[in-house]
Amino acid sequence: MLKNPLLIVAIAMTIGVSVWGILDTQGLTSFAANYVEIGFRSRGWFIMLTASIMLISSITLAVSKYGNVTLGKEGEAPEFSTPSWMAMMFAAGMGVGLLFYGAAEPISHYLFINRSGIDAEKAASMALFLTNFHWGLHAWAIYGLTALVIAYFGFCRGTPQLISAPIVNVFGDRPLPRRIGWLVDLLSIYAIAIGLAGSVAMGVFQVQDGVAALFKIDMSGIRYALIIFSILFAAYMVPLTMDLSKGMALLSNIAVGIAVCLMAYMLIIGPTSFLMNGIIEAVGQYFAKAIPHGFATYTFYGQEVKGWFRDWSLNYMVWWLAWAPFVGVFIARISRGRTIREFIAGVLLAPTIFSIFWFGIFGGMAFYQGKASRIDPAIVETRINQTTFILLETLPLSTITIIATIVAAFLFIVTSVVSAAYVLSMFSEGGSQNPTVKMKLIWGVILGTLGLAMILSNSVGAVRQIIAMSAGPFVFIVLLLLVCLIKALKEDVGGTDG
Amino acid sequence: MGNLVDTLLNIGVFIFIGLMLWLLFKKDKTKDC
Repeated sequence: MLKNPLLIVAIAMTIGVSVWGILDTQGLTSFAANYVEIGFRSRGWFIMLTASIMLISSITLAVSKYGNVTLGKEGEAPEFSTPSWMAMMFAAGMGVGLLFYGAAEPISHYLFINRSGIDAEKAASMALFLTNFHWGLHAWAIYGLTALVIAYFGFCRGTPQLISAPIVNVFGDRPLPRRIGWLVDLLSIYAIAIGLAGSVAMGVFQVQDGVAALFKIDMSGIRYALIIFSILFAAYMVPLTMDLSKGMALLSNIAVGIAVCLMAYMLIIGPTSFLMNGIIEAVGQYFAKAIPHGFATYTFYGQEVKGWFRDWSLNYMVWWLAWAPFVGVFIARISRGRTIREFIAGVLLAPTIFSIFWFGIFGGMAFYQGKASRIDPAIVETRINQTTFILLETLPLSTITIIATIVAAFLFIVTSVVSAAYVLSMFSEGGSQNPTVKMKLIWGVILGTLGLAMILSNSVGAVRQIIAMSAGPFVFIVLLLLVCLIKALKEDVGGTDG
Repeated sequence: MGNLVDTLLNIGVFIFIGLMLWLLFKKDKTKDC
């Protein structure tokens, strides 16, 4: 381990940030906020442009002759069945965030739009569109293209499963590409660790509020968050000692299964035709406006709208960028044997359509209950962590649905941490497919310490900014990876009909 | 007048975009595979 400088620097960086966060939470939070503010103000256009380039390039690749290229040997069959492939990538890419923001995000946008003078009906429809925009094609194009690059080079050119591998492969094993590759791996490890820790913190906040809602007790305060964190820590350290590739798939399938059941329950028990009308409208609006909206930067609006844009749209895009190395490597691993066309269609469309249904049902339900004065939309401003549970409480069988949500949140976090520790250990051991248990445990502890630092910040906003800070370089890295992919495809497939 | 830091950061982005376009379209002499 001591012979691996990449690992030493990466661990030092992540531990440095955790210690800083634990000793001086306020200091780290305000540093992250300033850094992100400068980045967003000066490069907001570039972040949105990159997300759009990723989406447009994905679609172009899928419909081009390169779409026929198989990720693996010619004629090789896919390793996983299509439904389980989709479930796994969905669990990896979205997970706990969906449970957290299902109702909270549409309500937040709704309040903001409604307060700026737009009537309630239009505000609700715009709020759903914006939420779908944040979770839809752009997010999955960022993940999908990163995954495609790793998969293409790994399966067609036999490189190790590292983010740096395509760069070294295309630009030659010379000092400069090697150094850039080294830096890219370092930043990937750092971004994965920070992104995951943020997700752990958000998940802990969610579980904390769920338990409070369930037992009708006041569980606010850092003490309870720490108790939940300790249980979670114990729950993910055990699987790290075992080879659990099948077990992890099972856990993510259970988590996704619970989420689907919750969604179906709400659709059936709630105002079904109201929700379905909302979803169909959202589908139309989304596919009509998503690509042009990817270029929206709100530059001619006032400070308030610009602030909203930075806090939501830009924050989401950098969030997906921060997660791209982790989810990319994961999706690449499960996609062997698919053609590029099939891969892009699956990665872009399936999760996007699922998200539209998810937000249409949770958001639509929240609007419906808000209209009937059963919930106060302003809860998102004071108790955003509790929004999902407050909504569930307005429906029958709330004890069961709240327990199901807590279990799903818990499973999503455990599966994310275990797979992230796996990917980080792979990176730390030079792209090895079977990292050692010792390395996985080291990463388990580091992710836990970082998660603890984020929990101590005790604010979802702070967590998001710390993640956004780590994602900064990825806006450049994903474009460099795209260039590598196009060059390699031109070289391998060339002018022939691949 | 804009903010100097913003302008410098943007110039960095322009250079990056230029570099990517150059890498994408330049003719390669060697092949790896």
